[in-house]
Amino acid sequence: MLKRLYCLAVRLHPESFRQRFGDEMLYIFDQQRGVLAKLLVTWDCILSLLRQRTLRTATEMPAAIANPASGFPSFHSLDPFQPSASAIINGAMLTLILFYMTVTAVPYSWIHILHPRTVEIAGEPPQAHRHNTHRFPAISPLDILPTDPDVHKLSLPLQPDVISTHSEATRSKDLNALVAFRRKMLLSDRSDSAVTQSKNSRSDAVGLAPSLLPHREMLLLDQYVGKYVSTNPPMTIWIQMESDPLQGDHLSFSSAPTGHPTLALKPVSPSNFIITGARNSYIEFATDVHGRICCLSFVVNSNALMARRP
Amino acid sequence: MRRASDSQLPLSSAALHILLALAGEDLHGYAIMQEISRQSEGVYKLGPGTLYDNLGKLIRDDWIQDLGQRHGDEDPRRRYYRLTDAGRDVLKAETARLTEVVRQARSRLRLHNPRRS
Repeated sequence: MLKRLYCLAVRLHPESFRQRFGDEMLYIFDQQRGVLAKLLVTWDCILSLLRQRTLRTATEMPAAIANPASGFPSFHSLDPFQPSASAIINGAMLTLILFYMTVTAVPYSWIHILHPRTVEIAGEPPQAHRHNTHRFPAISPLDILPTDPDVHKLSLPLQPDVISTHSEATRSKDLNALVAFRRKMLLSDRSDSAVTQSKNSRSDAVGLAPSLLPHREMLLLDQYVGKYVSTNPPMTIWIQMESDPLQGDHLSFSSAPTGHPTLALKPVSPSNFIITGARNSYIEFATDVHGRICCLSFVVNSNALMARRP
Repeated sequence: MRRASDSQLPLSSAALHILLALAGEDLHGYAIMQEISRQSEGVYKLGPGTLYDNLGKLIRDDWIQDLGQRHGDEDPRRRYYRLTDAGRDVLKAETARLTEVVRQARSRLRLHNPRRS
């Protein structure tokens, strides 16, 4: 019985070890006299089996090299170096520390704050205070269809993958509101341009450079400018008016008043502004009972952050 | 100055006893076990698994040479092993280290127990 168990333990050793020492191990077992001696030898053989299978995996290498498959080149390293257990443990601890530091530092990076795609927002939903505020119809950027040729001249940015969860009824309703808003803007532009046509021979305000936007539209954009504060998560959003010779007068979005990078906002409705360069994100403004802009919803991938004017 | 063999020190008990057993003559595995038991007066007994695990490491380090089987031996399964020059140097270095350890130990014990010495 012990002999069979011993032979089995020897046979289960790695091949290279068994080929080299197996016969001698069997010889040693045969030399033992008495059950106790054979039992101790068998126990030592079982421990050796566990040791060879767990700690001595490198002993497999010579056997693999000794019998390469015919026709296939074999490669092996002449350097028997293996990292020590302490080196592996130290490396693992260093990796964990670096990972923790990185995860801790990410929320404090400017890139994270200013790049809405990386923001994980779990604020209260926009519906939370809709009961006491008058809002413009919610319009998603996807719902913009340039049916009016004048509206088409505005060349609004189309981002087909911004939001696609609105129903057809909502899309139609939003579209009507948007077209009415744009038509109102165009009519006011035309009235202004008719007055000044003799001076600057301008025929259509829409076709001019953005920096020459009519004063009325500038006034419309001014009502959004200001500081908006969110409590959960704590964050301050600055909406500013930017005058850029290339992009024209437009609103910008930033997390600091001055001296930090901003993201341009493109209007798609009186209440909705797409954040340029950030997909699936937009800012939705809401008004109070007096029709003044009181708060905004910063929406990223259907997650909303609420911020109010202080 | 630290020698190359010093980086391998201290040796494990099994490695030290195997090198010590082979320092006198070439032996096969079972004879090494018996020699170790004799040297330690029966206190330290090596099993076959432990023996051949250490023999494999010592062979890879070129401290022991595998001579293979001998013709005309009473059992053809026995393989003989020989201590190499590198293994002898390591054994000398380990012996010197242990001698220093013993000297330090004797010195300290004498210092702490002056009356007994």
